Amino acid sequence: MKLFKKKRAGKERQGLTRTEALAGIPRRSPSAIWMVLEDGDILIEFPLNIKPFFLQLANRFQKGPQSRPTKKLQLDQMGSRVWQMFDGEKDVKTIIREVSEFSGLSLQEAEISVTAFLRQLGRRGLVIIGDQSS
Amino acid sequence: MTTGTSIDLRHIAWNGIHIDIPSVWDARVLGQRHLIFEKDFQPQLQIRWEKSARRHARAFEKGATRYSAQMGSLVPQDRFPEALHQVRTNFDRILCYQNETGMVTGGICQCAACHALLLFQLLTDDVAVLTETAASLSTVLCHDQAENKGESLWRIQDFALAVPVPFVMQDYTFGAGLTRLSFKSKDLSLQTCKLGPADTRLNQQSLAEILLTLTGGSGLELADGEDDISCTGERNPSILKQIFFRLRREKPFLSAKIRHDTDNNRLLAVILSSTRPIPLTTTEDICRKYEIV
Repeated sequence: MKLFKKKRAGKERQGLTRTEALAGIPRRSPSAIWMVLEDGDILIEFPLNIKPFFLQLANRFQKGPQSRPTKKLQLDQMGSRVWQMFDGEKDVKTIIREVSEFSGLSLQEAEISVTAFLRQLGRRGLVIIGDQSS
Repeated sequence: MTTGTSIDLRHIAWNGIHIDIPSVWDARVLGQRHLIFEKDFQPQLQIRWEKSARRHARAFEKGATRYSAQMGSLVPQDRFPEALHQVRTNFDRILCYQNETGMVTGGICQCAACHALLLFQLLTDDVAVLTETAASLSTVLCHDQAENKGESLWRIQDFALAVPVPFVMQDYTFGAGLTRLSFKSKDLSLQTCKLGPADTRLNQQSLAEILLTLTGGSGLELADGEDDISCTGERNPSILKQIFFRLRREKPFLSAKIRHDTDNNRLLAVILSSTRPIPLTTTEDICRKYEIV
């Protein structure tokens, strides 16, 4: 067995290009439970990604029925509006354009805002980006 | 603006270059001398430029060879694309690159007047883009005419700014809701900030508080404008305090102005800092020439 296997140049996993990423369609993860608060902001409750060892450890100290720990995230006004756009139909480009229109930001500014927001939600597993076929 | 080929164009200016691009294109800044133009988020054309070299003929040849590796082979002069003939009016040297299929992929040109090198690269296979590119490139002005008036123009996306010529760009940010350009001249530093949306920001903070945050300066004397949509701040410290600021590696003198562009829902701020007293008229002059277009 080779300890230091040479990576094949062609087999390396390539990331998405910007054009591909912008054509992606974001949709809300089914594991995220969300509700609209009285002031219009959105509150999302999502399960925490904890390693099984720590989950078992947490359950040992917990009384009553065992449940997966969750975390809550409250979005601001703009975040809430963008969250509602993740309906599985609009692609990232369309969302950026709409954000640019309603917030009065330039397209480049709106793109930075939306992609940063998507990145944060994606890291928490709240948003899944697929293509048109998925 | 309309060219002979009836393409609607709009004017943009960035770091010494002026160009009219099709109005359906969006300009994105990728570097101090690197712009990319997109249509519906699809990159169409990118341009890079270099200011004149001492040996400009040699610089052109070197540039042509350097970019050949990534752009393809050079198009022979007798088969120079007809669509790009109008570009020759602006440039005395121009070479085009083509791919294996014979499609033009870009080119390199040198300005007849200032010898600046301009590289353009087409980022799509669409044939119409070549015509639009030619129309745009024929409007390029690399030796800033406005500089004759003592000002250089920055006009991109939704704002236009004219700064006095001694100011040279240091840095820029196109952040979420904050566009910042930073310039430097001999003893003055200039920062221009565009914040949006203004209504949301003003719900949380007043103009004076925003100005204080932007300047990050203690001891700023604030004064609200007469119209209630602007606020100015100045810092003219005593000699003792000047030493204190110098020890903290801060420029002691500050002059800043922020105003609310109610029509466009934006906040526009101009901040000047220096080691010497700054006349308020300088801030006012720059602020007057900073606007949403």
